[in-house]
Amino acid sequence: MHRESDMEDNYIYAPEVRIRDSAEFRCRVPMQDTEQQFLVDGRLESDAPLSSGYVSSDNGVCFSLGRNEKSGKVLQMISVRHDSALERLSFRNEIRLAENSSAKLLLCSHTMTLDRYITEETVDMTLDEDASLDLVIMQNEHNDAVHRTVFNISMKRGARLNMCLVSLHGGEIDNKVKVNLDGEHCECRIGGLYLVDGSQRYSTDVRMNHNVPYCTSNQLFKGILDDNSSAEFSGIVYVAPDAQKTEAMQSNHNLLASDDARIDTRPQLEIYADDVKCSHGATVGRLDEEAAFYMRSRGIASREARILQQLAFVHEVLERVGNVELRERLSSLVEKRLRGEFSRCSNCSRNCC
Amino acid sequence: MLSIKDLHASVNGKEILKGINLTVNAGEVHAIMGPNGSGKSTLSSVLAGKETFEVTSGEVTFMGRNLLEMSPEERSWAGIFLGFQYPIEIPGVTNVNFMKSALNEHRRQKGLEPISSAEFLKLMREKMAVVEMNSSFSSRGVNVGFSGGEKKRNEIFQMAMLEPKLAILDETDSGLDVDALRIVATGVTKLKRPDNATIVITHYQRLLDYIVPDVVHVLYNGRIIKTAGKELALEVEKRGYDWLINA
Repeated sequence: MHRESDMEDNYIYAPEVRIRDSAEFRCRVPMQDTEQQFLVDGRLESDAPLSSGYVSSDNGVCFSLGRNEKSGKVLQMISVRHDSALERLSFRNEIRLAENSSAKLLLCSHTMTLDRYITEETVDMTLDEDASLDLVIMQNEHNDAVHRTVFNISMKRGARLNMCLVSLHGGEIDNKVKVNLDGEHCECRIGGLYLVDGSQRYSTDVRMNHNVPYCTSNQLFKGILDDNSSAEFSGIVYVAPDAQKTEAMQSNHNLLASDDARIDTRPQLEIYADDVKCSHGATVGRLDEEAAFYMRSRGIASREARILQQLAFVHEVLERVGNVELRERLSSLVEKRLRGEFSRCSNCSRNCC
Repeated sequence: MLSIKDLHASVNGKEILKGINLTVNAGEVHAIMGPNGSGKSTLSSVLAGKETFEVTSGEVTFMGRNLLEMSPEERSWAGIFLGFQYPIEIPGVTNVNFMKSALNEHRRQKGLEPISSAEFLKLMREKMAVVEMNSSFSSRGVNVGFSGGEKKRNEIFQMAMLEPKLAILDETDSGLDVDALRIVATGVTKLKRPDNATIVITHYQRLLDYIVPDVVHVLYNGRIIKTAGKELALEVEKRGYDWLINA
């Protein structure tokens, strides 16, 4: 079957920047009210001044807010791999929000050269009573990069997390998310979006533990798979024997854009309480030919019709990003990615994304 | 403008159109009537280029070009517009983005620059007024959650935006109440110009009270069995199709 390629096989991520020689390394198109920190090969970039809330270590960074502290700004941590350290890298980041504090965080990971990088990252997050976190993770690396991340999330009574994982590009991306809802009335929303093509691989494994009553969790993962790519989704919602009044929703939807792409999806529920509302679902589908014909009959060329449908498909996940400016930036990066263009911010020569 | 000669088409090996002959000139309104299953919708789908139908023989010329060699989008650029009997819902694609993509593609084909946002919104407001559509529809997903009448109005709005040379309206009156029918039909009439043409496919005469045809055809079993003036529609309304079928 003849098919036009959207996310093209020859997508090459080709940055030229040399970080260490550069006096200033910053995202050239920062968003309003955003504070940036660079983590180069797991170390906080020394040129950048440390702001309150950050504690640096040789092996990752810790961001913490004290009791009642509200951070109005978006804190963007840009983690890059650079050819000054080509060996396998492991580091651990920590996010600690004390009681009734709130933060907005954006974590980006990029590779600055086309070398083979293997990155193993652990992100430990603790949200104390009534703490609130908006978290967006943007993964945009290259075909020869392997990035495995483990998110360990612990939430106390009344804590709120809105997390969105946007996996734009990478050779092999593996995200493990483990959430422990340890206090009543927690609210945990996790959105995920993955775009894979060529021979890329993506996997996600979510374990949502409802250990106590009266918590809600909501997971929505959506993926578009093209060419020979493959993805796995595995999700378990566990509801402990006493965790009554739990509300848990989990869904995973996939769009296969080629005959050879492969998705394995395993949504699972493990429920030991009897007064709960839980649902899960998974779908695997193809582009809607009727909708494509409708668009083409209005003069929208078939490739464009495919891209519009794909954008529409992922829209639901991006909608979860509360910050409008960031959501628009992500939408535009996703659109470029689907069009087979470099998914970089416009007007930026730094090429980090 | 449009010339169809001995057109045969089938779906899944079953022949639906069995030799259609039809000529439509600029400035004309043609009505195609016929009982269920006669091939009316197949004809409109074949003209718009739907790939599930296979044209087995015959010729279709549109503005001097071989229509059957053109993709659906090329037909649209050339000036064909199909008003769908059942407009498709496209969740997540807003009416604005949908129409902007379509219009800009048409402009690109004509060598024009993309339309500015301000101009586009002005044009959109103007054309929505043609079918008395509320501007709140522009930010909604294409046809998502629209009532039957709203979907049909959206079809005519799209037609107004694209200004086709030949509009084929497939059962645009189905599922409409009297008010919606009037709005849709008035919209079509407002868009009529000496240099464009319309083919109205319908079951019922009532739409033809508003959109007065120059020529009426009756399609039955894949062939046009009768062609006459607008009085034919009235006769069909009174006597049904049997007298034509058995003639």
